[in-house]
Amino acid sequence: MLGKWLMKQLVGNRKETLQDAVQLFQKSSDFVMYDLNKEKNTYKIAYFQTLIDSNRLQRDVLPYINRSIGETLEQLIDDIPVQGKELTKAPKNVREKMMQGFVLIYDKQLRSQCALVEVAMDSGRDVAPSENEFTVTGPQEAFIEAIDTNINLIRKRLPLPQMQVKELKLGKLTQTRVSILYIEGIVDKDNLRTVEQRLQDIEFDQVIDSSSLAQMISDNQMSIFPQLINTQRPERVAAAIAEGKVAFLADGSPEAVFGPTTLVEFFSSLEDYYMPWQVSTSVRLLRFLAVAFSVLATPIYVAVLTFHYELIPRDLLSTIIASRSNIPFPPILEAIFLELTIELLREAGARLPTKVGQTIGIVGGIVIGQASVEAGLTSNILLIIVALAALASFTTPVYQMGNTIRLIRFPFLLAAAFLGGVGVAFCSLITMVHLLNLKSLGRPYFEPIFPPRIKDWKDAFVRLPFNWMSSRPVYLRPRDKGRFNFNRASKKHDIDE
Amino acid sequence: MEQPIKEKYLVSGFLTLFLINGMQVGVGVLSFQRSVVKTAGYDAWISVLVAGMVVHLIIACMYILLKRANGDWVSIHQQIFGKWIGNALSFIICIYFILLATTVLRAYIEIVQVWMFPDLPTWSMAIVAAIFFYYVVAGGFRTVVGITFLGVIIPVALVPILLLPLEFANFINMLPIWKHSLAELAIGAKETTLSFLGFELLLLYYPFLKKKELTQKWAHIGALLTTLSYTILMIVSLAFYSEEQLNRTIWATLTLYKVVQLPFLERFEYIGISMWMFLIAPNIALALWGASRCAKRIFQMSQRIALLVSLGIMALVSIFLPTRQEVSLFSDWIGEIGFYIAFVYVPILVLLQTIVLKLRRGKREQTTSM
Amino acid sequence: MNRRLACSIILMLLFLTGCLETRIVDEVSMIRAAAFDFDQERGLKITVSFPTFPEEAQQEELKQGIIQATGETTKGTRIELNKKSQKPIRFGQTRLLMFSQELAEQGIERTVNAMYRDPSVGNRILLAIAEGNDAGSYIETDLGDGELAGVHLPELIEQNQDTSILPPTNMHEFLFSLYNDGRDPYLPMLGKSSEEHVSIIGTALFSGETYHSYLNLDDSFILKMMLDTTRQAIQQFEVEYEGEQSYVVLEKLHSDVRRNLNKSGSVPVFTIDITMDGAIEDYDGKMNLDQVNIIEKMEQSIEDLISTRGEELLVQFQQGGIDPLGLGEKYRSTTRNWDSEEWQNTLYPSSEFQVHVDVKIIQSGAVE
Repeated sequence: MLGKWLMKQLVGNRKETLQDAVQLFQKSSDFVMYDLNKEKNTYKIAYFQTLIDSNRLQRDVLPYINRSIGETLEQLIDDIPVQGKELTKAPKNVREKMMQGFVLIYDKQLRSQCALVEVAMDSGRDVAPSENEFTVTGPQEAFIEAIDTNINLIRKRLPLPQMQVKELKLGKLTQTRVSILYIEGIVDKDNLRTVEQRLQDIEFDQVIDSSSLAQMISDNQMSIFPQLINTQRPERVAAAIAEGKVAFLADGSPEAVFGPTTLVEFFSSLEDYYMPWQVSTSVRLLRFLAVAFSVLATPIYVAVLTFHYELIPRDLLSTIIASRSNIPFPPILEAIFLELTIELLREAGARLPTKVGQTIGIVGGIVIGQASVEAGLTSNILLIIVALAALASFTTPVYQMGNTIRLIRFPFLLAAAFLGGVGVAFCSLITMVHLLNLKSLGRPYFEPIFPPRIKDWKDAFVRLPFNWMSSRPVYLRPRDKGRFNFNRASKKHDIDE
Repeated sequence: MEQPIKEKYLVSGFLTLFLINGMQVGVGVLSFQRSVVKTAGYDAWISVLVAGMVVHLIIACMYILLKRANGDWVSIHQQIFGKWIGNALSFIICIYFILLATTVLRAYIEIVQVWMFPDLPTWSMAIVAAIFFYYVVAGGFRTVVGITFLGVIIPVALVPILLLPLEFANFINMLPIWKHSLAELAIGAKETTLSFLGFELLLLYYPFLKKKELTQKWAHIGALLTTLSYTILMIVSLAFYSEEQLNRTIWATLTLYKVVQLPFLERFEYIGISMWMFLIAPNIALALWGASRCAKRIFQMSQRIALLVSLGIMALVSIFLPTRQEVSLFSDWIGEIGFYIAFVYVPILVLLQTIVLKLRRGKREQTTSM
Repeated sequence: MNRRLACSIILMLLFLTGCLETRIVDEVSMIRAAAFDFDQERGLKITVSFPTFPEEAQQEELKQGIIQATGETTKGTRIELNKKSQKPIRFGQTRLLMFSQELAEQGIERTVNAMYRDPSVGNRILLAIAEGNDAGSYIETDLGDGELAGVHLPELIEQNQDTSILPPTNMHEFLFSLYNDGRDPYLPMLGKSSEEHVSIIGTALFSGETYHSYLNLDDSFILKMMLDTTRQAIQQFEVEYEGEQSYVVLEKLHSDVRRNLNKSGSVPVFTIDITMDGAIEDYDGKMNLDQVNIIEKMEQSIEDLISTRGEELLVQFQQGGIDPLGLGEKYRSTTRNWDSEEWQNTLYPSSEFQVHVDVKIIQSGAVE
């Protein structure tokens, strides 16, 4: 009965005293407690050895306590040159703070009041380049696990007081700090309220990562499509909240989540803004093409080879028949076999260290592919198609979306094997209806395709030059709609003036 | 009279264009040439144009009705005929929409059976379609409009391909223009109505439009696009086929696609049939939405249950139409009923409404003067 | 809810339609070419050619499979064919239907219509007439070097239509003309030389659905020019200069045609205006082509040749009661009271024809 036990621990009984708390602590062997003798008083000092930075304790706390001439706990505390310190009476507070690396100082008699001094050990890693969301140009730094550093990275990019942070504590066991970030004056109040409300309503005992939070607050948890974007890149978050989106970070997670988003946004990379607009527009279109190819190529192959042989161009016919003539399986089995092989390779590559992963890729790609063609298990044309489709699915900039695309191929494949072209069309139709039904934080997910909003097309399938993007996306309903004054920016100068 | 629809369920006014066009263009396009050519011969395209013009008149009539009643078909009926008779008439409309959806579904299944899968059982397609359309319509009007919008936008890709058969065009067929009598042209125009039907649904979704008074121009543009595309298709077909050949070709549009050959594609009609699903899905979804909405307004029942009942009727009826003859007979009936509902009944309604409003005003004046 | 529903639909699809008949490419016999002959006993004999891949073959090697069957109807014979085939017979990739002259003389509408009715058969497939009474033997011809007759024959016809030597036609155009009250169909005609070599010998003309007569290649070219625009053709003409016969080959032949109808007189007069330009590719005479008037003479000579032969052909068609040019169609387009009987019986036989040709030779090759 975890739930009940949890409730008891969290609510705490009213009668709980500091003594009880200390007794609870003492059950752990990394808990240290010793006396500190001063002239008039003996203080007890207690902490978790594994949670505090003992260097700082030795350097910044203990000498000052010794030197202090204060008589009461208040005076004593005043002399310690540490930022995070407080006096408290609440045992609950003591319990929570102790777990975050505070040092407890109290009178021997343990009167009602005690002092808490922050000496937490800083055990995070340094800010390093992002590995998962790589870009060639542009800033390289990525979030780390410490939430304060992460907020710092964002604040540095948006140095204005209107960028506000709301902090919540989520997860009954983990007590994770979750910060909601937004810019007052741009963000739509409804969006902000939705995020806040949904986060507060989460009833889950632990928060492992912000991406799991993102799933918990998604509008449709049954959907295979991610409805909020995860990113490791601070500049992407800064750009998002500057557009009027709401972002949140969780402590211990190197990923920020922001929304509302649209389907199209999952296919835009920040690098699109670092390159000339013609280049980035073509790259974006290429990505959409890649998605369509990735989802449809193998199913169409299966449909055509199983049912619609009439469609095959006459010059290709002999090649296709020849490549299939020795294969004992129907096209669907052949396709599923190859698709699974590719998925296996991807999964194995992801689980293994980088160097080994590369080897696996080469071994899988060349050896298995070649061997299965020679053994007459698959046709080489299908091998090309499946490999290209897998490659195409990796062009999606957001990892979650890439997974989705790889997965939805399978229902398409099955439908193609059973109903041919009609099956593929039917699956596309279902997917579209699903996308139409989907919402991201209550805003339509399929925008700007439906509802059709031409204004938002400037930064959807194409990326137009910056001076065309004078307004923020409509679907976010930003309170401040304009980015800059279009008329002033587009004023023309006469020749030679 | 009724409480207005909540803002968040409304759709932009310009989507009326897609609603009108998406509902009109459907399964009829694949085969409408033959029936027109039987009477109007090579002047069939004039018949199509005439039918299109009449559609515009009817749309104007509908807007007169709707603006006066400021509600939907059900409230118009109630306004004119009172509660009981009005609801009974609305119920007929409701049944008509279910049957319209059934015709479209059954005709599509038939095409798939003839052209792609001769051994595909009707009942399986009907059941799968019923489940699918439950999912669509349960998403609400916005989803239905969304699928309509996509159902117009995506198949646009099929239009330029219909011009490729012009390689074999023989425009001399159509000369001299206007060989047939007006009566023949009029009968031909009536024959096209099944492919123009569906716009009468406007009378039901009108309250769901934003700034509804301003949507009339969009409705007309939508109908105009339909008329234009039908006329162009008709002209292409007439140039492509000789008269007797067209008479022997049931699905003339599909046979047009058959001649298309692209470097990477030997035959196009299979792609065409598959993609046609995007065109017919809005037809069925909108008609079912209309039917269930209508039922909800008449019986004050949950629209979900009404939808389930409509889906059940649709699936059952399409299963009990096994042969080509029955299917075409059924769709002829529905075309006939639809013709009378849209092209005869709606103008009559306008007249009745005028009379009723005059009488009421007269009564009110009487009462006030007394 | 949504996804679950979607999944359940897919599952339904799986269970409900899992038993559809498949047509996997390597598990059907794809007919490339089919030949229709008259059979003394049952009426129809069909010979089909399809590529096969011998199972034991090491290399992916194509072989030609041939099956023959007889029957009363096209569909019935197809069933007979299936009985003799290792894999189910499919007509979806057919590119050529050949009819023997003997069968064509009895009419081929029924057979072509049966194919038109079959949705899996394309609309662009070629139709051809084989000289003699055994079209099947054309398909059985061994071309050597792994060449398949089923691929070779359609490409042979297509190539010749593309280079504008033959008037282009296919199943759609055949049916278009057949079901047109002002036009008669025509088809390419294949023949065999003594060494069993298949080649194109001309154009077969039809009267309705029955074979009427055939034109040789030179006449086919003139028919082609009277029918339609010509692009990138190449053709040899016989020219006469100061009583001397010589041959000139024109390439890059482009021609345009305008057909006019004059109904003002007592009989309809059809005027066919052909404008044509081309470049001299080869010339075996002794004249110096640099001289302007010689080129003009040459043009004049070609013009005379085409227009006299053209008029002869038109009269020949008229006497045979066939109309491959679609002159009836032209007449129909100018009249409001069209009566096909009247056209057939009185108007067409009394029509007069004129062929005007305007030839321009634009260059005479790179070498003087």
